[in-house]
Amino acid sequence: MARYVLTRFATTVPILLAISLAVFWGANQVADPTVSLTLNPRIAPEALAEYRDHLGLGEPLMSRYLGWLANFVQGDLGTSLVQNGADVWPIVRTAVANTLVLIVIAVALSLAVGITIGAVSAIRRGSLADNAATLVSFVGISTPVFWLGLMLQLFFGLYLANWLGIAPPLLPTAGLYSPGQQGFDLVDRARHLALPVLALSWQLVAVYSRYMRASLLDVMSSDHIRAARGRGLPERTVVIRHGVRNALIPVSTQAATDAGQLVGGLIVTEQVFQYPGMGRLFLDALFGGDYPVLLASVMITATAVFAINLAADLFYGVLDPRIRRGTR
Amino acid sequence: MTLLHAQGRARGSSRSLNSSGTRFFRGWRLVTATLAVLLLMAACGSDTSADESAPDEPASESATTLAPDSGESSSGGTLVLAVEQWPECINPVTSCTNATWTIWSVLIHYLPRLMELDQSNTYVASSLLVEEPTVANGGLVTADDGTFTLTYRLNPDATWSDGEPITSTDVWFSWRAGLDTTGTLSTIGLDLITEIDHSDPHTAVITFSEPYAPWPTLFGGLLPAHELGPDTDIADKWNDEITVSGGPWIQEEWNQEQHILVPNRTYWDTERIPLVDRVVMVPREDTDSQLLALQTGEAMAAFPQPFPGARERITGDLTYEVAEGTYMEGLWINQDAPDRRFDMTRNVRQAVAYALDRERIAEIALGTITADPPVLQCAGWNPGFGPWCQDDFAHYTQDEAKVAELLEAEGWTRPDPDGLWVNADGEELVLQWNTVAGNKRREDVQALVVEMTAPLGIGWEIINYDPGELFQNRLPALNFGPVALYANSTNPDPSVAPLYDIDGVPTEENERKGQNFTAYRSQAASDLAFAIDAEVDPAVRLELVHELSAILADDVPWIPLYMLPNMIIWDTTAVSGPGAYVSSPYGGFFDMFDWTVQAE
Repeated sequence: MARYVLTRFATTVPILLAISLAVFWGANQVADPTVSLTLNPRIAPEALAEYRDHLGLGEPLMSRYLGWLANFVQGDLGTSLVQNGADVWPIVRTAVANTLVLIVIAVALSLAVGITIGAVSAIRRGSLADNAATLVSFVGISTPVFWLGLMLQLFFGLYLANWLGIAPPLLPTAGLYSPGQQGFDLVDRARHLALPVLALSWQLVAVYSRYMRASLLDVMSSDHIRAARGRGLPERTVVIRHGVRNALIPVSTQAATDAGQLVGGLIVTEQVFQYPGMGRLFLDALFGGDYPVLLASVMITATAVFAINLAADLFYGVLDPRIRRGTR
Repeated sequence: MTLLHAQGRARGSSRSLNSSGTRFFRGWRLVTATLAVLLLMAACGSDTSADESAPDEPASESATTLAPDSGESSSGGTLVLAVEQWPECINPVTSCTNATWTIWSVLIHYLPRLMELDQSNTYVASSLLVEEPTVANGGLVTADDGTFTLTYRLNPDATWSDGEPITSTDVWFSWRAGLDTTGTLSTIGLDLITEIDHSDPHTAVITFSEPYAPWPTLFGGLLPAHELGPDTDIADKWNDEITVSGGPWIQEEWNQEQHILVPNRTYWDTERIPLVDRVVMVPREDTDSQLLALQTGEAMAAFPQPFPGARERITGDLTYEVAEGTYMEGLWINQDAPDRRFDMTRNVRQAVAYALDRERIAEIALGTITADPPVLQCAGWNPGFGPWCQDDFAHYTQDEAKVAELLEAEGWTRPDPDGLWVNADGEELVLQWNTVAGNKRREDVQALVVEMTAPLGIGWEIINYDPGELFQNRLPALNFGPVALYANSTNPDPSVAPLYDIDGVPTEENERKGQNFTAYRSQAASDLAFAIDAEVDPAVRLELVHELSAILADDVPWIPLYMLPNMIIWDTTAVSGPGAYVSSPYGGFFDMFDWTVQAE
């Protein structure tokens, strides 16, 4: 096990380095934090040049990258280029916390709903409910997140609210809190989370329900289920205790390995709903040329994805010793 | 294979049925606990931000306690505004201030100004001054030794929101902070000041090393010395909180989620004491989000970038006002373009100008935003500011005969009457044209112009770049064009000299430090541009500006097309008052002290 973990770490570090270098290079090609200052008639060219030196933008690209890397490995994420030298960590920390809330709720909700739909589909294979679930799942898988987000905003924020005569709408279309809200309010926060969570969960529910259906059908045709039935256990017990429980394991593992795919959906979801998480931070930093913030968000995200995938692999290895032994 | 593999996984997992199943359900409890922790994390974050930014006592209440009886009545209510670009920081001196929205959404509401733009964008004395400095009242004096002295007499009733008087020491401090703060950028003009005498608290005597005509543009945001001093480097102060105000509003909270302003009841300019109880600004960083927020009632007004289709999309209870903004869009002609196939002579530049139907261009660019968009006829500056514009470009209308006359005078011929013009070296009249990739308005203009000029024998090679590449890399290196389409904001106040400075053409010798990106080398224009900056007599200055604009119209270093408009949208059932400052550099929210919200 230890050797396996070390091997994974050894392969992960070069990948993270390559990602950071690619992002650093790319960010410097497409954006510059001083670009908007070039045409400002109140700024003398000398002052601009001095400011660029102050930000370190005059140094060669590789020298800046190595400087960033040296600080990063010591836990120093640097300072923002556009927020007047503000430390990067507090900026990223807030975004990470907001994104974690969104991800955990969305994944938990998706698992709960997806597993339920998948289980019902499998148990009533070929029924109207199964066919309907299959149809809805394929629609869900095929629905782009950005489109769904916009439709949810229009439906809940505009049409439904207008129809009910409610303004502002019950489910707000953007932001983290209602305007003017100060301090934490669980209900207000939950209302603002509803639509982003729904948008993010839609595809996940569809995917998990398909996994669950296939997994449960697989389990229900296995020998130990026949043995359980042979022992005269009630069908309900057979399905729930012996079928569903075992079918959940590959689904939950799959949920963990899907974490990377969530990142793409998050960027879109957070942008559509003006949700201040890692996705929006990434976009803002990218377009603003704020590479310290950009790199921090990318590295934290990449590390998290690797860590979750590693945890999933280890978890699966614990459940199935053949994987650890490489006998799959 | 897939089936077998799946069965194998299921069998493998079945061996640990009891224990793994139990672990799974324990896992759900763990997930529930994690959710609770996450929500607590969020709660802690919010509480912290609220605690950090909000004073112990609500600002409005504390201000009310301090307020004298102004006789003003408040209509009350909360105004909610959608803000298009959220400032990353709000320090009033550093690069934070170069984001327009830092000024529009934050600083303009708190920092007092000496001179102020009125509704027609003309500088007048603000209520902080007893009178406007003029030559007649001795406020503007040019000495024999070439120094220039500007005297401001401050209103003795003016105070900061904490009760401290606004004095000449604040003027002095603002000057020093503008120069001494780490990362300061907008130092032009301030660097000509040699001394500010602040011995009399109500009189600031400012000495410049040379006459400086755009003096009204300086000190557009005074800083409280007693709050921010004595260190004049304020880079680490007021990055996320304005603690003292000299404007109509007091800041209650500012963070990346919202900005809350409450009335400054101690404001000495009683006509500008706000009517509403509270303003909440929230970020809605694209046009669709802003429009949706207005349609759903989540916001009451927005000041978005004008967007195509605005005339059709703003309906129902929403209304809008459009007016000329601060940016002029046009074709900037780089006479040193490395990819030019021939010299961009004055005749060629004029021929291009005569080949364009600028009314059609303006219609295509802005017709879905505003009816009958005006063509920009000023040769070098924004017509919405000051008296400078005299429509020198108005004679450039599409004229095929003029195009032919100008080109033939330099030896161009058109062997094929339906083809392109060709010069003596056999080069066709094809111009490389750059703009920002993905900007629909500009790309629409390109498509129209290509179609429009083809019958007149002028061709285009369109290569567009992302903004960073075009503005940061290509413009300073003069590695564009010879034609580029972009917007600029130039005006004699503060100065047009950087654009026409003959020594400001970026070159290797001057390390590319110059803003004369058209490589326009006219000694007369350059001298006039500097003379305009140094002439403090308004009448004489106006003559110089008109003289320069005539030269620019003849030389055509750029071809003005249209003014980019500003737009403010509001919900008529929720708010009254927006629209008066749409074209103001202070932003459409500037006068929200006069707005009222409708009773719910």
